[in-house]
Amino acid sequence: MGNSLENRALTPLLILPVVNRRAELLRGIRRNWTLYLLLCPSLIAALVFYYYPMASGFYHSFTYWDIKRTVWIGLENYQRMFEDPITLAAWRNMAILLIANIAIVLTLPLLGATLVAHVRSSVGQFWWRMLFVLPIVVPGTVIVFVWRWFYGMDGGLNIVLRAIGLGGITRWWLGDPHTALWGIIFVAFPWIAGLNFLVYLAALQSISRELLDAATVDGASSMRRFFYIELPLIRSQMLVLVALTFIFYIRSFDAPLIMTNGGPGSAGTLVPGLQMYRAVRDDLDLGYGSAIGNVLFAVTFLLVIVRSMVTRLRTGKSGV
Amino acid sequence: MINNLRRNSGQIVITAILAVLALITFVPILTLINLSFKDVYQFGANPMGITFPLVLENYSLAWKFMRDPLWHNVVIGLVSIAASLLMAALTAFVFARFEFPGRDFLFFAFLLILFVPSTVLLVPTFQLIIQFSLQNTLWALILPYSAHQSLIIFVLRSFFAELPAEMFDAAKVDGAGPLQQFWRIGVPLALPALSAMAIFQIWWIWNDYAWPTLVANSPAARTAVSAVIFFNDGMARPEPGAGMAAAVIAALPMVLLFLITIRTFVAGLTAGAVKE
Repeated sequence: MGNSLENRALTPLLILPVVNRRAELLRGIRRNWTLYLLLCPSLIAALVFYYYPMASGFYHSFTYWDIKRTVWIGLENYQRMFEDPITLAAWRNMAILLIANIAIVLTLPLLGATLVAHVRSSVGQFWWRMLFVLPIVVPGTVIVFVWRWFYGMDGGLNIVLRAIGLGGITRWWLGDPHTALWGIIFVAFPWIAGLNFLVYLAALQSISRELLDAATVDGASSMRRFFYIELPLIRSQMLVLVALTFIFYIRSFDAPLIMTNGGPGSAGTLVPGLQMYRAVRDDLDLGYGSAIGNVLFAVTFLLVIVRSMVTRLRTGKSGV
Repeated sequence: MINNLRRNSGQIVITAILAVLALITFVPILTLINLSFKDVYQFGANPMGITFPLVLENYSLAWKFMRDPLWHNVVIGLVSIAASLLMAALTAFVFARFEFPGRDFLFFAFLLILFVPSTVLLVPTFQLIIQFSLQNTLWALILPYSAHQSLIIFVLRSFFAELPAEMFDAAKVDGAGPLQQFWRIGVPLALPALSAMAIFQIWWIWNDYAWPTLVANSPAARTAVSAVIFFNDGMARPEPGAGMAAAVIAALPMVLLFLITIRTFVAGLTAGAVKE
């Protein structure tokens, strides 16, 4: 704030430009009113379907809220969430899915993309890419649906196991608490057909041929070339994909919803997002659902901030 | 000579590994197609092998159930893509080509939305839809999907910003306002980018499961993927083959769209990958 006496002495000098600037601002707004008009549709859409729901969800997380009534109950929803043993199981499952999927995103899609990028003929490259894009085009729900059958008692996995003489370990894979979560992780194995693959491939294909050829002429083996040239050059894409995987698996719950509805048992494959969904769908408990949604939002936001801080520390400039 | 041989053997190894990976990737999809042609006995006796005769009735049964949901998807997709692209492109154009007070603040407000996870919006948006009695109507999907614009705004703004100013000078001399500049110069140039974004929108709209199942799980508004699960798990209790056929029917339009627009589709997915 500074010294108040000094401030008072300075006021007359300061006020003039402020007034001028405000008048100028108003003039600018009046002169550009058509531009604001053109922005209105998007702005209204953003306000109604993003900013209003965010505010409403924040406020109502402190209330008992069904469609008819809103009753202020303070922190009760959050308290209930933290005391519910199911919550702990849900967050644990989410953590397992997160770690597994980060391991996935760093390995097989990268392997697939690297192999495709090293196919010598460009026609071959094109067709391999198309082949691995095709399953991305098939709706995820359909893929999850097939895998659900695959894990069933009479499903493909058990048939294969019986055929190779491992009939002893057949089971209903999604009904067994020891295997259900693994079942969800293994959906879409070997995980190449995904957006991660496309991002890696685009990054690898943008590396200049001359650079790689020069390394080959210098006698670098393909392994060395990969670890010393290609991998460092696509590191930023890898970091982006890891961050996106984090954010995605904090909110994603389609696979558990379709395959197990959170079971077996009370929380075999439950994740917080599904906990929220069930609060709304089964109990119409919108206040509790909002509370879970807000905690997930807070965690996501924290991660985004931590990440941009890490980036800033390392590079000395701001990152998103 | 030896060098050549070594390079070729490298290519063979790459092809072999890719072929194995592709095979594992495609087995579930091929199994789905195979199962969709089986009656209940063939399904039980030999689910993995190919059995004859192929039971085409599965498809006529599934089609009866999937016809309306597919139509809903088309309507929802077309309307919300037209609305979101039009609004977002206009907004992106204004942000990219004009100076006005508050521009950076407003752009930031749109940018911020990119970081808001859909989970936090699900509950309050659900309440909003109920409040206006839009549940189980197509509007429950069209309206929120049309508002899904921040990624398009972000992508198109950088596209419009890179256009050279000279392109717009002639139009300005002719007295064309922002809207005419947008229609006559901006839109025609942005058509490839617009179609990539349109593909990305239809792709995720077609994929969306949790939201339509929550707000539109009725015959009047059910979407395709939601209908596949409802058909299999609900009261309908179809023959298993027909249930599989429904899943194939839900996927087919996207596969066809992909085959028609290969390059645009890949461009749309790659642009969208950064967000989804």
